[in-house]
Amino acid sequence: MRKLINNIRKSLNELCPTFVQVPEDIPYPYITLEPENNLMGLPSGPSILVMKIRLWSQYKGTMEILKLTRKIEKMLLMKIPQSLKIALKIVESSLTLQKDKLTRTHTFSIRLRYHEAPDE
Amino acid sequence: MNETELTLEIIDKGSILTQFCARECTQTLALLPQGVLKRTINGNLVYVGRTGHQKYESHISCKDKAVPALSGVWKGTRLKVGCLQWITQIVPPREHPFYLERPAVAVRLFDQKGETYPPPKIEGKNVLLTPPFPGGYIAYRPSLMMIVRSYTIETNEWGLSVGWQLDLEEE
Repeated sequence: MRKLINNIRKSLNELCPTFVQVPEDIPYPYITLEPENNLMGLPSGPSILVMKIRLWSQYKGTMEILKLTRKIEKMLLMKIPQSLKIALKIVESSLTLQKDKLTRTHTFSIRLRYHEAPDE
Repeated sequence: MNETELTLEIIDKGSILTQFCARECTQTLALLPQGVLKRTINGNLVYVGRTGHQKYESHISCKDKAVPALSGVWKGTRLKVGCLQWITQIVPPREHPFYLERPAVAVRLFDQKGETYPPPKIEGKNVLLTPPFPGGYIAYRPSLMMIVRSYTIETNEWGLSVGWQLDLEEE
């Protein structure tokens, strides 16, 4: 699973800096990957990974975040499933203005179906 | 990886499953109501029917973004279904030759303790079991020739979601 998340991180990194753990003082915009649940199909898979992909922006207005959102969505639906040989579904997507009234987040809730290599 | 393990094929035409139409599918396999249970004169319950008539019926449904290529599919259309649903069959020790009830599209072999073994060679329904498998279970996803009973498709326009349901009966 770690390898898969890292590969997703690398792919999204082409659009915007992407992290699982965000280093300090990172400029906006950036993406965070937040795995929530990994269900293993027994005895031999496939597994289902539930995760959130969050895009963070402090641009004044929604233009930046919406532009990036469209690119991320395209990558999630078209490029990542093919290159990583997984099946992926965006379950929900939402745009929120945080309490500081400066930061906007766009959250994709996604579900991934994948076969884990035995050595992972 | 495919969006689903399910396969639905019109013979000589091809798969009816298009992109974004079969993620998170659900399939049920059930026994087709055939034959009857009757009481003998002594009060014992017995099955009265032919084993050759023991067939499955199946219901497949999905909510996704597109519908399968169902145009041209009507009541009576034959579909080759690579099922999602696994069936598990007991493999008695030293059973040779061993036959599956239906042809398989995927197979898993495991013993009583849950230890798995390499998938055996399969020719049709004939399973070529080799040592050291001590007997146990074979789980497989059956490949069934099925007839369309009915289907429904639906679209939630502003919800951007599409759903479909397919009712099938084994040939």
